[in-house]
Amino acid sequence: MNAKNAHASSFRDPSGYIFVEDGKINRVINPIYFEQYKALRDSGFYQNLIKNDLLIAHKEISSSEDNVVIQAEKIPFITYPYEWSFNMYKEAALLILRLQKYSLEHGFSLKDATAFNIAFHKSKAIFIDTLSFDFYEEDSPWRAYKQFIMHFFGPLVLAHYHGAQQLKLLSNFIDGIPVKMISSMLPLKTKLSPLLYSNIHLLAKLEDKHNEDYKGEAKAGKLTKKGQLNIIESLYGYIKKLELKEASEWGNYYDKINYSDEAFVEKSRIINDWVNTLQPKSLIDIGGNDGTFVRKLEQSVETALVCDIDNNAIDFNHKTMKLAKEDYMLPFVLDVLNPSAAIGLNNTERDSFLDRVKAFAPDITLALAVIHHMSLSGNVPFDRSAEFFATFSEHLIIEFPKREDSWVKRLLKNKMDFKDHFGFYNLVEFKNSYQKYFNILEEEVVADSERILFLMEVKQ
Amino acid sequence: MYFTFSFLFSYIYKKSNMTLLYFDPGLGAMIIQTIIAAVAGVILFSKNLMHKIKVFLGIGKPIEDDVFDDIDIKDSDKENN
Repeated sequence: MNAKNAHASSFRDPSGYIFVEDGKINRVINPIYFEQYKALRDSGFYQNLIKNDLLIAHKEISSSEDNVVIQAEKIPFITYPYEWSFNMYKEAALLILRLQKYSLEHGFSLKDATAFNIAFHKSKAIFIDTLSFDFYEEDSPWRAYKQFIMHFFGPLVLAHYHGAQQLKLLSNFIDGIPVKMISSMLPLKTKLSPLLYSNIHLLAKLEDKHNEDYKGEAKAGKLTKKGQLNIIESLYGYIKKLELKEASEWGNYYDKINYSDEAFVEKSRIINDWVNTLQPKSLIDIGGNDGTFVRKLEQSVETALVCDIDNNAIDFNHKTMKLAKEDYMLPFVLDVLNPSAAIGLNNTERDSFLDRVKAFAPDITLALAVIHHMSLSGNVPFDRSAEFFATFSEHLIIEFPKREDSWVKRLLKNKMDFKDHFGFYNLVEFKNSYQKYFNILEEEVVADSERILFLMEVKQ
Repeated sequence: MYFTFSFLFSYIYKKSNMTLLYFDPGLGAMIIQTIIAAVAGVILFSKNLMHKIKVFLGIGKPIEDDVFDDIDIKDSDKENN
């Protein structure tokens, strides 16, 4: 446990810990977990999950009496549960249930079910905690059941009834949302559902009732494997059918805005010209909606992060990406005015968005149709948004809609009496502010629109 | 039917409450799984039954375009051996 150089998030499980060396992700396995590790390795259990892209690949790099060290495949950019869209969250929850069913069928069981054990890699949810599997003890209940409810089932059901914003709760409850809280937030009618009543309300009742009983005289009940499989399968069936009730903030965005077909094609051509010249390996599209413009790129990139504030746009992108089997795109939900903070013990357990994106250092940042929202809806001065965009990429492609643009007009109109305070929103002020942080390399008007595209390079 | 379920749960809960007076909160979640498994069994049974009836009557819903996998993981190792 007092491991040297252990990763800040790797301290809960005594089975081992992660350390990063020369950019490589290594996992030390302690003797306490040797028996499980060898059984999982020698039975082909690990290998089959890796082959199916369900468990992150690893190779053993050393083995001694004191420890075994394995090296895991590196995931370019880690997203956290509070950055997943509803369907991404669903995919992660279903993966846990699939893994537990498979484990049970092979004599193992997941000993924990935290949402932080899942990452998205090559368009799929993947399990990243290689040491989470333990031996299944005959007729024992699932130890991680409550954690599954707190990390997955609860947030998903809350999102179903109250909207996708509920999924962000996990950033405040790193160990899962308290069951009592989930129960109290659900509508009364959920008590009439046998599945919701038993998995949430009854569980909350028991937890609440015995919260202060620490004599520990009771023994864990017995549960047959068939019984446990029933729980898993019923939760799987319920979650798979779960849907959101809300409409999208940006749904059909491209139909609603004032782009003519010509402007749309022209915008795409300009971006492609610039991107082809720069030949990036990675990029981030901030406010990237459903990934439309990233898909229009001729230059292929290894990793493209596409983030947006709107859950439904990310969900749509997630579905498109899966159906098209695109493995380079990583969509996630991000509020650019309040990006995910660093949380957990010492504020180092889960990194902030800014720290992660700085480490990832995408070659290009795309900020298309986003500056007017930051400036006019978020009241962010140009200086401050320029400072933000200058922190993680060498190049920035940014779109500036002029005051004559219909969307800008709408946003200004919404300001009513306060409208006069937004006189700063003009091309001259924009360029002056951005030139403090960037050199403007290219500037091109998008024909048949009131928008201008800029290619900028960060000042050294 | 749902009212019957709710009543039944409350009854079982009150009964179990008498015998299991003291336990760790984590244990609570372990113990309750027996009840949840029984409920899940009934849900799965009735779902399968409804499915069979629908198939029999020819009113089953067509399979939608789904991006989520089936619960079963292919055991490729065993197949290869």
